[in-house]
Amino acid sequence: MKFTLRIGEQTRTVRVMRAGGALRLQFEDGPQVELDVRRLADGTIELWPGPHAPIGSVEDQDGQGDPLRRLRAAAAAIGQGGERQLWVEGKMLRYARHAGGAARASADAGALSASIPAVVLEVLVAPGEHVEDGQKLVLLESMKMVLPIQAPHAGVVAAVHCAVGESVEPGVALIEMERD
Amino acid sequence: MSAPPFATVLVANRGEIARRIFHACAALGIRTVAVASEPDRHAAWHRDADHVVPLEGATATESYLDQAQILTAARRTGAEAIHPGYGFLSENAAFAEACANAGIVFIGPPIEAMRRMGAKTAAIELAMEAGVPTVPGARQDERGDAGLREAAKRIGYPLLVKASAGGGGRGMRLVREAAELDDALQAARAEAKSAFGDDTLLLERFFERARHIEVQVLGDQHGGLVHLFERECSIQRRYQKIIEEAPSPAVDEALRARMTGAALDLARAAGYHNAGTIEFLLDDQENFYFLEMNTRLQVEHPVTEEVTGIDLVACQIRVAAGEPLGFTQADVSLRGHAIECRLYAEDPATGFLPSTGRLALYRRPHGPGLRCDDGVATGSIVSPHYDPMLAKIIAMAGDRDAARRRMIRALRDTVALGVRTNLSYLLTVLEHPDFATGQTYTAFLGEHPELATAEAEVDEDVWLAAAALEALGAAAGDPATGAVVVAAADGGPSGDPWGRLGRWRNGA
Repeated sequence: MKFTLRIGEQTRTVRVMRAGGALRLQFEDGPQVELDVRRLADGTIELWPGPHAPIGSVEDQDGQGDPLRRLRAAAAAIGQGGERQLWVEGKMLRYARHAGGAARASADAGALSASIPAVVLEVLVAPGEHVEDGQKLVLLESMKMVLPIQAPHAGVVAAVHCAVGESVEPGVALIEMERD
Repeated sequence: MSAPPFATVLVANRGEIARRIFHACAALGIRTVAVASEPDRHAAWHRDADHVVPLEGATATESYLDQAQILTAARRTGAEAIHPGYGFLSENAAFAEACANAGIVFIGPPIEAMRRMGAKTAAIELAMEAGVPTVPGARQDERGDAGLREAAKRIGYPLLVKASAGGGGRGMRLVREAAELDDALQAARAEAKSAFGDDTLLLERFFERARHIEVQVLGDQHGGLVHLFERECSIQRRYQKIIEEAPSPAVDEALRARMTGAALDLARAAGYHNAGTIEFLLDDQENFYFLEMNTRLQVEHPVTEEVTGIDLVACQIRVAAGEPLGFTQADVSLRGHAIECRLYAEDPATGFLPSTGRLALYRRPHGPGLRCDDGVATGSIVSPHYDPMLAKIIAMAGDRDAARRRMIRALRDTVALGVRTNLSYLLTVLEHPDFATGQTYTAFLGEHPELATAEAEVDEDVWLAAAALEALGAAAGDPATGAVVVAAADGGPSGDPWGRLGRWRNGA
């Protein structure tokens, strides 16, 4: 198995082989590492140096091989598109596994939606109304906060798809606008 | 052992605080009743209650704020008392009155004291009468914006525009110069109107180098009244506390005596009993000013419990039943130091936008000197309807720095994945040299915006962990691999990490 991981700006491809009860990870640009993996009941994993001692090394802060270290980690999918949250020994990061050319659904150009689940507090505009750039169109409330949806440009409100009190999901069009 | 103060108590709240109260009741031998809104039916926190009564509705207004539903649940389960927790109905004098009319004890202060201290203006007037210093400001809003504009000239800048009925930072704006005032008034009025149904505003002088210090008081119905020292809650984002500690690194014995004395004077003037908190602002000249009184249990009460050894919730229940406190000021002492961090489902990098969804993986920290008050478990749904706080982590030790180091360890041991959280942010703050040396001012987070976007270093461990997790399909909640935590293999040495090999996909 071979896949590509992206963390921040860096991308690395790794080849994974099963070696007895262990995992052999071969990074294209780096060492080969053999690891024993244990999955714990709480959802985390432990990585241990493999049975034949690491090929290459797990480098520690001094750049010295440190084959006796155990590494604890966990991950969870977040959002759409293969993004993961990663926890490694108390450190939190995000990474993505290259999905292989899966196109991301692009939002409808003129449609405005909530970025998080929310409840509609106020609808400030009606269809046909002309609005200025930055004008507040809808007020949403989510977890004690009032969040406005603002016009991204001047234009005319083409349609309003929400009503006061309604629960709305992220990405679902609430307002459609036509640019001036 | 004496009889329990009540046979049955209903807890009109949710999440970690409901669970905290169930535990206090259990320790006192009291049967507990939880109420659960529609989205909370499958929540983890009410599993520790003896009974759960479903509430209709999803939003707070439809469920936990619906007095009729709560009172009906109390009547049907034979609850003699209702503990309101914090938030929701906890500071609602009308609800306390409705409880009294229904013959149910409201576990909280007298209704009169709630009314008086709940209205900020009346509370400040009472503080002035009691000789407690108050922040220079304008507390009259009868003449609207014009009146406030004139008052602002007298108070000077910077100043805060606050909603009279407000709390938690809603309806609040910081104004640095006169030119910004009109916009701030307009925005605060709109927010106050929508949040509280009351757009009355007040103005207050704002202090740049200020600390938020609050004094816990506790009284019984027989004239017994004590303070339980102070807490410092200066580390706030958008006026929302995220780190609290007791005692304050800025308060010495002499200042402590002055502040706790003022707090007791005010509590006495208000005819207060049960638990309450008097919030002060402390400037860098050791002047303190009364801000407001919270007539309820505070989120951050655990730090006080840890440094005094007093169970505040148990005391609340006992004094509400008419029992005497059973101890005096001389019996209360301060031991060691405690710090609390609030773990929120929110993203510091995007201005603390709340994050909702499934908590795919949650592991609470444990170890000596640690306490974790939480209301979630792996698989819990973080819904947009309620406060996004997931857990409170409390660390205590003999001194502040030892407690701080314990907290850092605890945060590193906490796993909360599936929603974005402020966990890394909390760690960054705890490790900051200014926090380590007690230079904690309310402006701290605002002056260090870089802390919110700090990125962890990507070392070889990180790549190895990510590669191994992907190779195993072990990312929780991933629809592509179908890995779910409940299906994870046993963690023992014989656990087979290859059990899910059939679901591997070929990556790019």
